[in-house]
Order: sequence, then C-alpha cells, then structure tokens
Amino acid sequence: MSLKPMLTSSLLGIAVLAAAPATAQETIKVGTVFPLTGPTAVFGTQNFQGVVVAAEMINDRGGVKGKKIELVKADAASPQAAIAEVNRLITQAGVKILVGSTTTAVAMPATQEAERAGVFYWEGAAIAEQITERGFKYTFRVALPAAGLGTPAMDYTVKVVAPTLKRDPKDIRVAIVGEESSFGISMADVNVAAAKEAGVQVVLRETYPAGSKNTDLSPLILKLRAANPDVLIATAFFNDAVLLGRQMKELRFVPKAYIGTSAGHSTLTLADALGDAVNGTFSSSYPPDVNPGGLTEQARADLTEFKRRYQEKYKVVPSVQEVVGFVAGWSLFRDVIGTAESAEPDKLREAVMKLDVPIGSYINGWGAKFDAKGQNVRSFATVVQWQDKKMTVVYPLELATAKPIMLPAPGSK
Amino acid sequence: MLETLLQLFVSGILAGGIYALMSVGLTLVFGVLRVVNFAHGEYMMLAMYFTFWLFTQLSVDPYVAILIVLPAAWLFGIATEWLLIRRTLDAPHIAQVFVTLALSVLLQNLALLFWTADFRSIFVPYASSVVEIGPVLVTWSRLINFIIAIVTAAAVGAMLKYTYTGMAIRATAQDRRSARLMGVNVDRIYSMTFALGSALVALAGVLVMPLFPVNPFSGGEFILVAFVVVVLGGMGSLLGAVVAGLAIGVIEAFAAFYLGSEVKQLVYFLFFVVVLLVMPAGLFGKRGAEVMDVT
Repeated sequence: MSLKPMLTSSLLGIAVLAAAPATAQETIKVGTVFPLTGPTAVFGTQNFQGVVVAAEMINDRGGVKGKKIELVKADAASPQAAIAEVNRLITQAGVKILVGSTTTAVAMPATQEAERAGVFYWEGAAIAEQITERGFKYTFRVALPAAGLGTPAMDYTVKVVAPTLKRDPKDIRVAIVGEESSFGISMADVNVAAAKEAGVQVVLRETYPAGSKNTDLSPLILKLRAANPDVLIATAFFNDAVLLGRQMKELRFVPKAYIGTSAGHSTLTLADALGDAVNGTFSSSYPPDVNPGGLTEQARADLTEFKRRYQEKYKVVPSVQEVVGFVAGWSLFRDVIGTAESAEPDKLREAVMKLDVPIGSYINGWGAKFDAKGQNVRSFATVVQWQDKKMTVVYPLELATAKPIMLPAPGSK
Repeated sequence: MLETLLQLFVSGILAGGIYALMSVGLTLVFGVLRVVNFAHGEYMMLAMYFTFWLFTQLSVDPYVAILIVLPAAWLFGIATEWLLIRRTLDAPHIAQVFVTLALSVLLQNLALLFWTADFRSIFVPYASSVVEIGPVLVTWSRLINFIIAIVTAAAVGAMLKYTYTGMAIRATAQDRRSARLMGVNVDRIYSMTFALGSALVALAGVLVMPLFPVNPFSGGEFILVAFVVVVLGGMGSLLGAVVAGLAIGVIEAFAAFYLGSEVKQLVYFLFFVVVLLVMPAGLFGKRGAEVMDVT
C-alpha cells in the first residue's frame, strides 16, 4: 500500500468516527471510580459489580434514549490513586460522568478533582457528611449521610420498642455507647438529640477508644449494669461489637432491646463470632432484602431481574453493598441521564434538581429527591434484627419482612 | 460496691495477664539482642490467623493448636533472625528499626493480600462459659489464658535463672564480648532468644483467638500496649514485664469504670510518665540497659 491511499483511508476512518451520527453505536461514557484492590476492595468490588449489572440491564432494555451506557473502569485503591484515576478518566478517556466511590477516603479527593474539571460526580455509598457540605456544583450523593445510620435506632425505640413494652417513651431509659471516632461520636450525638426530642431518658452516654484496641469492655458493662437501661444503643466496629456481645452475655447484662448503629452490628460475620447469642440484636443498616410489598411494581420487576443477573454473572447472591451499587447506577442511568436534555454536566445537574422519584421506586425501597447541597433526601436506613443468625428487616414497617422477636430480650429485668 | 470493686480488679488482672504475655517476648529480645522488634505484633497476628485456619479448616481446638502454632512460630523466629536480624546487629539503631519496621509492613500487607481486610473470628462455646467465684463472674477462657500466661512467664524466668542456656542468655544480655570469651555460642543464643520471643507472642495470639477477631492490623493494635509495658517494667526485665502488664490491666479497668472508658488509655499513660520521671529505667530496669554495649 502506498502512502496516499493509506492516509486517505485512515483519514476517512477518523472522519467517520468524528462525524458519527446518533446511531445505535454511539455510547454515553460513564467512568467508575471504586477501590478494586487494597484494603477496601471487598466493598468497592461489590459496589462496582452492582453498577455493572445496572449498565447491562439498561443496555439490554434499549439503553438510555437509544444510546448504550459504556462503563470506563478505574481502580481507586487509595486517595492518591483516586486522584490519578479520575484525571486519567477525564483527560484521556474523555469522560464527563463519573460514579463512585464506596469510601469517604476515595470520595473526598475524587469529587474534588471532578469538580475542578467540571465533571459530573454521582456518589453512591460514601458516608461522611462533608461530601455534600463543600458547596460543589456537580457532586451528588444517592445514599444517606452518616447521621442517617444513627436516626433509626431512636426512631425504633420510640415507635416500636416503647409500645411493645407497653410504656410511654418518656419512661424508657436508654444508654448510648460507642467508639470514640468521628463516626461513633456523630452517631451518639444524633441519638442523644433524638432522645431529648422524644423525652426519652438517657441514663448513660460513654465512648471508648476507637480502632480495635479494646481487650476488655467489662468496666463499661459493669457501668451499664449499674445504670440499668431498657435500651442499649451502641456504635461499634466489628472487633468491639464482638467483644461487647460476648462480654454482655458473660457478665449477664441483658437490656430489653440492644440496637447497634450499622458497622459491626450489621456485619454478616457477626453471627460466626457470636453464635446464637447474636439473635435478637437490632441494628440500623442500609436496606438489605426489603419486603417487595413496599416497592412499586416496576421496582419489584427490577429487583427480580437484578438478582437473577447478578447471580448468573458473579455466582454469588447479591447483598447490601451490591444493591447500593446497583441503585447508584440505575438512578444515574435511568433517571438522571434518562431525563436530562443532554449528557453534559450542566444539563445533568438540572435533571438531578428536578428529580422526584417516589420512595419505593428503587430495589431497596429508596426514591430520589435532592436538596440544594446535592444530597438525596429519599434514601434511608432500615432497622434489621438478627433472627436465626440472619439480618431481617423489621423497620420501617412497610418494608419489613418479619416481626421483631425476643422483645423484650429473655432474661432482661 | 465491694462486688464491683472485686469484679473490676479481677477483670483488670485477667486482661493484664495477656498484656504480660505479649510483652515478655519483646522484652527478652530487647534485653539479649538489643533489638526492638517492631514486627512483634505481626507475629501475634500470624499466630491468630494460623489458629483461625486450624480451627475452621481442620476443627483443631485453639488450646490444642498451641502444640502446632508454637513450634511453627519458633521456626519462623529462627528464620527471621538468620535472614534479617543477625545482619543488622552491629548496624546503627536506625537500620535495625527500619528492618523490623519494614518486616512489620511487609507481613501486614501480605496478610491483606492473601486474607483481605475482613475480620475473622472463631466461636468456641465453652470458651465464653462463665465461672462464678463468689460474687465475681469470670470467663473461662480469660481465666485459663491468665493461668497459662503466668505459668509460662514463670517457666521462662526459671529457665533463665537455673539452666545453663538461661545463664548463657543472661550472660549475653549483660556483655556480649565477655560471654563469647567464656565460651558461649552467642550466635546460637541470639537465634534461640529470638525464636523464644516469637513463640511467646504466638502463644498470646493463640490464646486471644477465642476472645477477639483477627484482621491484618490486629497485631499492631494489640501490641501497642506491649511497648508501654516493656518500657514501664524496665527494658529487658522479665519480672518488670509481668508486673507492668498486670498493673496496666488493673489501671485500665478502674479508670474505665470511674473516669470513663474514653480516658482509660490517658490514665495509664499518665501513670507511665510519672513512673518514668521517678524511675527513668522503669520499675525493674537497670540504668543504661538501653545503651548498646560494645561487641
């Protein structure tokens, strides 16, 4: 081949690419920013795979306004990697829509880089309040902020525990304990404030050192025993949730209801560590398997299809994190890009602000309506109870799959 | 009230027993080799994982697992001493610090790579059964752990005092050069001491497995207190490690109950600072033990 025809043909190729009209081949590129390796890879991968299934599902249903969603994958294993990967997606892959990020550590720098470049960032599960508190124009979060994991504990105490015990909420004594991290303290603050509002008595509030350093929580439990609360609300990561569960049993401290605020109390392996003693423990949690009765007809169909596809593709039953990933992807593809005038960040922002998706429209019961800061106000945590060593949704009632058991806990005074 | 005081005291002493066991190996290695092993906690973490796998894969009871994990830790200790520690004994302190610190980071990350950051735990029903001693409730496994810890520390102490090897270890600790002149095989003593230190911390790892979950960072979290114990007791002092371990356990328990769980560490660190002000070498330490002698 001489030089000239080769040049012509390649120029022709470029011309075709550049001028490609809106045919079925055209795609909307969405960059995915999740930690796929490193310490947080477990949740990162689960979130990511949820997004992948959402993309495949929407593409098989004809895509978004006739265009297919094309995911461009990145591995944000650390905050540094997040910065590098976001910049790569923006400058090299030409992506203008990003979805991420599982952890706050990744979300903070990733959204900052995106905002600087004027790129749209759809945050799924990262939890710190600050993510939507920085006045960013293009950062939006689907899931709830940290405080949202704390509120169900007191809600449940007032609306379910007190009536079940046939008591006025004002006669209910609660103790609030937690680890001394920003998460633990904000959970305690939220619950103390809610207790005050409902007139519930807080008989003990105590924090203990954060970070799996505790070898013995018996002094704390002796204090709890002396304070004699009806309800114990605890914020603990796995290590301390195990220690607390075991030592409460050993020292025979049994509150009528024991409610964790997510984290360690909502970790699947808690049942391995505590055995049958786990049963009866409540915890707030991202919605796991909700009652399909509380979902719209469309969401019910989506849920069935999601579960089937996920299991076929990844050979595991999807759980909480996979579902959150899917909801992040699904809301972005179907409801944001699907209703925006174009896939440009400014138009996407307009579309987000106009969203009014009722509760129950997504497979975990969430809906979508965003406040001015970019926070979804229709995402919420549920209360689960460990029953038969499994987490079962017991609140809110329309999404509950079972009634609470062991309330008051056997052996409580 | 008396009941609570007793319960707190017992809980503190029992927690202190584990602190002591974690620290005995560390102080021994420091006393003899003059090396502060920053990877000490990772040996404990590895022992915890080993116990976990033996329990979940082969249903080996954790107390039986001692017979398997300890020899393995001993060999692992010999291997690291020969591969790494021996080569830095005459190097500046900074090199020793970096070698053990690097080993710690390496082991943590290998554990992350192979076993992920998930917490693993075992459930041994009899371990959380409770013994009632008067008004005091004692968890069976904590009691057994305490007894094993104290018996082991006493056995190591007796070995150091009465056997030839023990005397050789003490001689090496006091003066490497003279020990060598007296016909002590100093290299062998180093190797043995390091192996013993690894086995002791591995024992602590096996014993806590029925109580606490493990993840790749657990060792580092637990062992922090061991460094305080070693310095408080006097670097290189076995008795010091035991006494300081128990003291910190008790202080923690009382501080947590009377002043609040959030200040329990603050209180023992205050105690630590005050003791060091009055007794700069720690409770049972010799002045100058931290200075490297001439080989």
